[in-house]
Amino acid sequence: MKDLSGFDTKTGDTALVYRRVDMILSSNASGEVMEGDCLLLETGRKPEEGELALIRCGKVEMLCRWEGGAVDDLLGLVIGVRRKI
Amino acid sequence: MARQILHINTDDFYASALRLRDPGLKGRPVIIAGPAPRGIVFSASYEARGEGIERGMTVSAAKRLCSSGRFFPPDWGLFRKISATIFGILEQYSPSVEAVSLDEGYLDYTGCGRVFGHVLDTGSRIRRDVLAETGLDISLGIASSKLVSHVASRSAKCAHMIDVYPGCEQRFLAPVDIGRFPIVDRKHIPLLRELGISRIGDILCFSEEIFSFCFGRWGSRLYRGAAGIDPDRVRKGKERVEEFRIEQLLQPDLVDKNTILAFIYRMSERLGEKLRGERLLAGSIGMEIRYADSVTSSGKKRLSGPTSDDRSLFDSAGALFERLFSRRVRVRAIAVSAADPDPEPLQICLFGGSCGTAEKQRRIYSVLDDLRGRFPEGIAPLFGRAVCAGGLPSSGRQGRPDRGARAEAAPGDGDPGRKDIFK
Repeated sequence: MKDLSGFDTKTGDTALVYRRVDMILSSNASGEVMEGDCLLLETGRKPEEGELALIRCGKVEMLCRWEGGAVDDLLGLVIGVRRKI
Repeated sequence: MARQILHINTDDFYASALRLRDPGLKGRPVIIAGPAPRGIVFSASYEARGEGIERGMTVSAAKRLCSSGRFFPPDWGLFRKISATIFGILEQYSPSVEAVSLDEGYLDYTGCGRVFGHVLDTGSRIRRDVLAETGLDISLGIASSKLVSHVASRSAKCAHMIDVYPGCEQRFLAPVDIGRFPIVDRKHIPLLRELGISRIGDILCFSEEIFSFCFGRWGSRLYRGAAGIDPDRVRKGKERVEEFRIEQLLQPDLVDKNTILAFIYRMSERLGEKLRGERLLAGSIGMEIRYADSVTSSGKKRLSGPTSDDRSLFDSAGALFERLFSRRVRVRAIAVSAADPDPEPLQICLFGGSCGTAEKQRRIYSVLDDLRGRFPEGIAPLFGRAVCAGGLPSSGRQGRPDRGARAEAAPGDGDPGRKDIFK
C-alpha cells in the first residue's frame, strides 16, 4: 500500500495508510467513496461488526460493512476519505 | 446526531492574493513582511518556505536566506476583500460560520446535508465556488469536532479534503506529529518531546490527571483533544472574539524599563479602547516579551475584577511585566492581551456614590476614545509627554512612545493577520 499522506503514519502496533480507489467494488459502502478517492485505512486491529472495511475477495478487493469472517482477508478499516477537490 | 464541522483553509492565502494582483509572481518566492531591515516576516509562500523562510524572522535574515525572494508589505485591503468573498460563499451553506483568521474558518454543517447533499459533495462545491470567485484554492477537513477537522485540513493541504468518520477521531489523530496539533504551540513542542511525546497518540499513554497536574487546564484540554474530544462549538459573529491583543515592535530594541512601561501604557489604552468599543470587560491580562536574541517570555494574570479601565489594565500589565522582564537583554517586541472577556453589565445607575463615579469615568473614556479616533496621533501630548523622561507616576497618564515605533494589531482588531510578530 502506498502512503500518500505526506507524513509518516506508523505508530505503535497500529498504522494508518492511504489507499487510492481505482475501481469501486462496493456491496454496501453507502456511496461514501468514489473512484479516485484515497481511503484512510487503519490496519492491525480487529474490526467490529458494521465497520466499513476493505477486504480481499478472491483476486479483487472490495469495500463492505464487516459482518465477521476471516481476518486474513482484511486489508484495513476505513476511518476516513481523502479526496482531491 | 454526530456533528459535521468543516475547517476551511486557504492554501498559501497571502502570497496567492498578491499573485492575483501580479501574475508575474507565480512560481517565485513571495514574502510578506514589514519594512526592512527590522521588519518581521509575516507570511511566506511555499517556495519561500522551501528556502528556509519562517514566520517571525527578520527581513534582513530572510534576505540572506532567500536573495531571489520578492518582498511585499501586507496589503490588508486586498486580503480583507478576498476573505470577505470566501466567507460570503461559506455563509451560503450554513448559518454557523466562524472566521478564525482572514484565511481560515469553521463551518458547522450539522443538519445541512438534507438541504445541500452529502458533505463531501458540498466540500467540492465550496472549493469550486471559491476558485471561481477569488481564484484561490482551499483545503478542507471534515470531522465531528473543530479540533479534528483542523488537523484533517492541515493534513489534506493543496486542494484536497479529508473526511474523518465519526468515532474514528482518536485513531485518525494517533499517528499525526505533535507539531500539527493546533492546541500545541511551538514553545510546547520541546517540552512534550522531552516527555517522549512525538505523536498525538503518545499523549494517551499518560493519564489525564498527570497532564492536568503538570499543565493545568491546557493539559486537560490537550489530553481530551488527543482522544478526539472537543465540545467547542462553532461561534459566529462577535461571539468568536476570545482575546484582544495588541503587539508592538520596538524600534530600536529597548532595555530601559521605564521607556518600555510607557509603551505598555499606550498599549493598555488601546486595549481598553477596543474592549469599550465591543462593550466588554477583560477577565485576565496576558503578556509576551520577545527579546533581541529571540527568546520569548510570556505570562498571564487574572484581574481582580472584570474591567476595561485603562489604568487597571496598565497596573496589571505593568506588574506582569515586572515579573516577566528578568533578563538584562534588549526587548524587541511586546504583546499585551486581554482575555476571558465578559459583556459589560447594562444595569443603569440608581444611586450616587461609586456608581456615579463609574458613570463619570465611563463618560470620560467615551470622550477620550472619540478624541483618539479623530486625532490618532494628536492627543497624547495633552496627557503628559514628560512622563517618558521622568519615569512612571503613581497615577495619571504616561507619555507617548516614539512615533517611529510600528504598531501591530491582532485578531480582535479586525486584522487577524497582523498578529505574528511572535510566531
